[in-house]
Parts: sequence; structure tokens; C-alpha cells
Amino acid sequence: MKRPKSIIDKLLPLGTFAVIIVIWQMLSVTEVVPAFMLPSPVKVVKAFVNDFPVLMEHAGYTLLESAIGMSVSIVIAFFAAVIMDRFILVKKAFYPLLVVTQTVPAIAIAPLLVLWFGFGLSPKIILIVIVCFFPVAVGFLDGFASADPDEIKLLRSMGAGNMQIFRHIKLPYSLPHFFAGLKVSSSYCIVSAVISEWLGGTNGLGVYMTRVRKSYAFDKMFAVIILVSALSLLLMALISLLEKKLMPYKKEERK
Amino acid sequence: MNNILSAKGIAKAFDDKVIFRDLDVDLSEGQTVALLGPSGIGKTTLMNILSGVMTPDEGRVTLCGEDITGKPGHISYMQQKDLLLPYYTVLYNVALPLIIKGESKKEALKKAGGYFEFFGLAGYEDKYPKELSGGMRQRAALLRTYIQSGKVVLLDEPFGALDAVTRRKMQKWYLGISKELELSTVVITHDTDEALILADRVYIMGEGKELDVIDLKDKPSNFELTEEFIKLKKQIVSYL
Repeated sequence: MKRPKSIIDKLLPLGTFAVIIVIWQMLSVTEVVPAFMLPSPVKVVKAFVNDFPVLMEHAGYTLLESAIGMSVSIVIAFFAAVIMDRFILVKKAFYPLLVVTQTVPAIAIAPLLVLWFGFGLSPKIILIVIVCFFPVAVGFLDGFASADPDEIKLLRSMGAGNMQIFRHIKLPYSLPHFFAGLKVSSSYCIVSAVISEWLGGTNGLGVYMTRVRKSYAFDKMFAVIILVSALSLLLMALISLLEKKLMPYKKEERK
Repeated sequence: MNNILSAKGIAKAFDDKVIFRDLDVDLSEGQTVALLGPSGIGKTTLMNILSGVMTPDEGRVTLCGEDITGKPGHISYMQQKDLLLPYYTVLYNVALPLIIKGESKKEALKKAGGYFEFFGLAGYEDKYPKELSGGMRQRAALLRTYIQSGKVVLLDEPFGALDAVTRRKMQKWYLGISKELELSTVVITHDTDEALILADRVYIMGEGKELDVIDLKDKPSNFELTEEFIKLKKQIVSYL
């Protein structure tokens, strides 16, 4: 009984998606919306296929920036969370500041970063870190705090030191929260990279986007937008896969 | 008989509230001692002191003559919550005390695995705690306690979270293995029946901060059905 239902659950959103595409195609073909403003899905796919090598080259740069940015975010977030968890005063001093950094809009600081750090990789990576660091750090912090004090006491009674308690209790407890934060970050990550590429640079999907926008190639515009979404989805799927690998006990719980 | 674990003149107060003063508890080898009292009387505080997690204001705790006051790592205790770590397999959970003490993972897992049959856990080594029944989880927690502290075991409301039938079964089972493994046990409980069934000696913790002691020697196998059991129960209820 369970199986058919899960198939229906999966088909339903796909169906909705297909209907939207069909309506979109009809709108373009019947010219309800002028074709130069809203290219038909078929044209978008054609643009995607024609420009595929160029798109991939730019995507490579964007992915590189994202990968470096994400890794740096995770490392900084981890150590920041460990320190804040260990020293409550540090947490009190810096946590509100972290929240404030989250209210600064990425689009607003991106131009500043370009002015300060030039057109290379660094301003892009810095923007990604500013955007992605916070959800991951909060994930770790909440995770550390979610550890059961009785379990910590139990390990103390076994003679465990702080390192062992961290290794056996705090770290595993933080994993689900960490992944929740990481998923949020990953959805921001590619977009942040693209935004910072808009403002300057020679490679990347943002650069490509700016070029095709200036030449009013709306079909290419849509192609690159879809590619950006696809990359974000891919990144999230990758994180889900990693999550399942690292937390096999989660799967058992669902049974 | 030798006192394997003994607490002498224990006093503890939190802020101005005196939990107990000048308290003595003795556990002889192979015996089971029950601390019986209502919740909030300081049973768990006493357990924390016995296990060395908490330091008393006065008094000393000795294990086999060695002073272990305020020194954790010698004896462990098991709680009502089994505290099995959900992200480790049952085997890894049970071996954890050895791993913490610095034994190699392989060695620790092998040693812990050797007891699974005896504790009725064979075949569940690689399961996660979630997949076990309440009784089995409690047995796994007990095995971990045994592996951690050897023959002296502290149990804090060990079977309190189980349903009545499983609890009876677990108590019977515990009587069996504690005899076979020659365990010396301190058990905290607010369940009079449990204290009388498990213990050779019952300390009753009442509001008076003094301990009343009942010694139970040579209990018949179906002790909980005898008149003496009912009589003792009445006596204890009147203390509390």
C-alpha cells in the first residue's frame, strides 16, 4: 500500500511542473506575451544546448568559488562554534554580532567587496563566506547545546575528558543541526557567487548572465537561470547524500 | 563479610538546604543494598556522591579500601533513562567505557561482544538502540555499566520506565545475573516492592535525614508472595 502512494507523491509535483511548462509554451506560441520578452521553453532549451560548452566553462568557475566558499565557511563556522560553546563569554560577546551580519544584504556589500578585493576570486569567496557561515555556525551551536546533560554526566562518570565528550557526545549530536544549516547555506551559496560575479570579473555564470542580459538574449538568460537553480539543487542533493552516509542511524529511525 | 563500598559520615547541602548529614551506607561483597525513599529526598545526590561525580561537603567514600571521594571513573551508575547514544550501535555503546579508558576500538568491541550472549542481547550487536525494546535497552545499559565498573554497580531507578510486567521480569533476571556475576549492587528506588525483591538490606530515607535499615536475610524464592513481605511493606510505608 505504501509504495504506490510514494510514487504518486513524487509524480504530483512533476505533473504541476509539466503543466506550467505547457502553459508557458502556449503563451509564447500564441504570442499572448511577445516572444522577445518571454522566450518559449523550446527556445530556452535550444539556447542551452547551443551555448552548452560556454555555460559549462562559466559554471566551472562558479562551482569552484562555491566549493572554496563553502569549505571555508564550514571550517570557520566549526571553530567559531566550538569556541563559543566552550567559552560562554565569547558566545555572549559575538553571537549578537553574528546575527547582525545576517541582516546585511549580500547585494549591498558585494560592490564594496569588489572595490576592496578586486575582480579575482577573493571577493566572491568572501561574500559566500559572509552569507553561508551563519547558518552553519548556528547549526553547530544548537547541535552542541542539544546534547543530553545526563549523557555528558554518564561519560564523565566513565572518566571522559572534554575532548572525549566532544568526540562522543557533542559532535554526533551536532550533525543533524549542522546538515540543516548546511542545506540552507547551500541554497544561498551559488546565488551569492552569481551576484558577486555580476559586479565584476571575467568568468562565471554571473558574468555570462550580465553579457546575455546586455545583448537582450532572453532565451540565454532563462537558460542560465535554470542552470543556476539546477546547480543549487544538485548541491543540496549532494549534501543529503553525505548526510545519509554520515548518519546511518537516521535511516533506521524512520522505519 | 567485607565492605566493598562504603560511605562514612556523608554530608551534603545545596545552598542552605541540607540534603543529608552524617550518613553511612555500607555495601558488602555480593550483596544488594536498596536506598528507598520518595522523590526529592536526595537519592540521586547520594548516588552521584557514591559514583564520584559529586563531592560531598563532608565524609569519604571508599571502594575496596581506596578513597574514591569525588573521583569519577571507578564506579558507574545506570539510570532510568538508558542513556544509550542513539548514533552508536548497541555494541559500540556497550564498549564505550573501555574506549574512553583508552583501549583500542577493536579490543574494546571484542571484549564487550563477549558478554552479549549472557545478557540476552546476542544478535543485536549491530542494531541501533532505537530498534531495541525497553527491556533490552535496559539490559544493554546494564551491560555497559558492568563493563565500566566491574562488580560494583549503582542502579538509579533502573526499571522505573518499564511497564509492570517487564519490570518484574527484569527484576527476576537481575537477581539471576547478579548472583552469577557476583555483583555488589546499590539500587535507588521509590518502589517498595522493588527494594524488597532485589535487596539484602534496605536503607529507608525519610524526612528525618536519618536512615532506617532493614536487613533481609535468606529470602525465599517467591518472597513477594509471603506474609513477611506484606508485613515489611506495611512497616516501610509507615516509615515514609
